[in-house]
Amino acid sequence: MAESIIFHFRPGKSSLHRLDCRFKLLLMVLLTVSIFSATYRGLFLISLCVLSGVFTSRLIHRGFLRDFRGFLLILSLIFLSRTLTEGLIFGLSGSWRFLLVILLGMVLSATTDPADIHGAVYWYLKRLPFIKAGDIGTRVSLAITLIPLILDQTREVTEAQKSRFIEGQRNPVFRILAQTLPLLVSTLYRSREITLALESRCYDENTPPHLSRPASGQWLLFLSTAAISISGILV
Amino acid sequence: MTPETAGPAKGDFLLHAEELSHHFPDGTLAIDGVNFHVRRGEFLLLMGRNGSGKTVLIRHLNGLYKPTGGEVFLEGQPIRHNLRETRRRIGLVFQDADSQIVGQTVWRDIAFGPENLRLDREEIERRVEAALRLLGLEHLRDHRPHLLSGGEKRRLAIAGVFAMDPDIIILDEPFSNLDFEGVRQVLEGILALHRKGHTIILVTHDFEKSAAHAERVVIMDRGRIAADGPPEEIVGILGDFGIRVPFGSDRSMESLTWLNQ
Ligand SMILES: Nc1ncnc2c1ncn2[C@@H]1O[C@H](COP(=O)(O)OP(=O)(O)OP(=O)(O)O)[C@@H](O)[C@H]1O
Ligand SMILES: [Mg+2]
Repeated sequence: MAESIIFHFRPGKSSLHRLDCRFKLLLMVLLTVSIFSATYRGLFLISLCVLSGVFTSRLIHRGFLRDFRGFLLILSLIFLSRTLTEGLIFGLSGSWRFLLVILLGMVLSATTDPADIHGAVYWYLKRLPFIKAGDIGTRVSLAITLIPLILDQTREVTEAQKSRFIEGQRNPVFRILAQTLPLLVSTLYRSREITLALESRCYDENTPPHLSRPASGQWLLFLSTAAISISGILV
Repeated sequence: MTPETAGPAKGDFLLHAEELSHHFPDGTLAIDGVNFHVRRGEFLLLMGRNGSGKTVLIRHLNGLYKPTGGEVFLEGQPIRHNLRETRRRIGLVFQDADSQIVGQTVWRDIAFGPENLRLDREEIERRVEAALRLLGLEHLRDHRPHLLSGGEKRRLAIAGVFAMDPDIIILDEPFSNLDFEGVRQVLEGILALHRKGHTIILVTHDFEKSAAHAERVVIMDRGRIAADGPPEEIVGILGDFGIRVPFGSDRSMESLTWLNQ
């Protein structure tokens, strides 16, 4: 099966894999905020932080660039539009910030089991009143599980059609329909089958997730990263 | 070959269905007045050509589909009164293993069912380890399920069902898309489950791969049960229902397996 690399969980034993997901979510939020509000000096610090995350999670390997091409397109659009309206410096920093956020998202999804994200979201939400934590937590982790499956499926449909010479078809509307319809149908069919399979495995959204107490090393990693991202805004 | 009329009292059946019918909204009558039963510990083959209603029938047996007519009973009790318990006791392995696998590692996927049953952590670990061992997946425990080979995926789907400790395990075409080795591995797994006392319902087009292990064969045709009997009786009429007749005219029943015995 053709498989896209990005936004897929890849099991492993790195310190980021082991970091408690509640920490990871909090750090995601902190870092995202500071990526967009940091000064240039702060941005440098945060970049180091994100890049070291990219290396410890071993995100970059064969196939990464191929999957990354789509984002490069968006990046260059951001770069162009901001450069034209606000100048080169803004163009550069704008697309750099965007790149950092994408990388951050990739690091998180590469190193975190969706089941843990479910657990962590549930843990935070159950502290809030008026919210059905189980419900939302489940939806978040289901979405995270489904996105890569849909990406895979997209690639398979595209390849299947290439082999039937879709390029020979001049009419762009037809081409788009030919690509999206099978995707839609197979995604719908897939989600129905997945729902049935979940039911038959006694799925229950109110099952409390299993969380263990984070070790002290994890606190250290969490606090130092949090310190960097906060100082990124202040310096 | 008696189409399920007389027989023992209904209380003897572990699972049975009476006059089961299903009309889909688009008008298809997928199953039509099916009477079906299975006894505790049995190994049953459910056969029939494409579209004969096998998948629809078995999805009624654990309550995934609601019949538009008739009823399913587990130990004499209608299953609709306790669907959750029914689904725990009747495990279903889907035709397409990919849609059944939800965990991001082999270990977590097997743990999914037991976690939903809210067993305690130690019991979950014990069951997952037992399932890994029984289906020969121990070395793959940390692998990503979607990257496994076809045979490994099927065995994982079976392990996930086994870990819930069901009485009956129903497998929908577990051999499709598998090569020789894959079929053998999956068949070994199924036989291991049967030896452990689980009742097995195996949906298949292939008499030759597994008939040696079956005690009974049920054939469906156009939504109805067309034949029901021991394999040596059924073998003669397979051709009438679009099922491939085993190669070689005088094959002994024991030879109808892909395992060397
Ligand atoms: N969701 C549905 N809506 C409408 N018709 C359906 C649906 N699911 C199945 N059917 C129809 O019901 C009939 C029985 O289908 P079923 O999937 O049970 O066949 P099967 O014996 O499992 O075949 P196969 O060997 O191809 O898996 C078929 O005619 C099929 O088209
Ligand atoms: Mg089927």
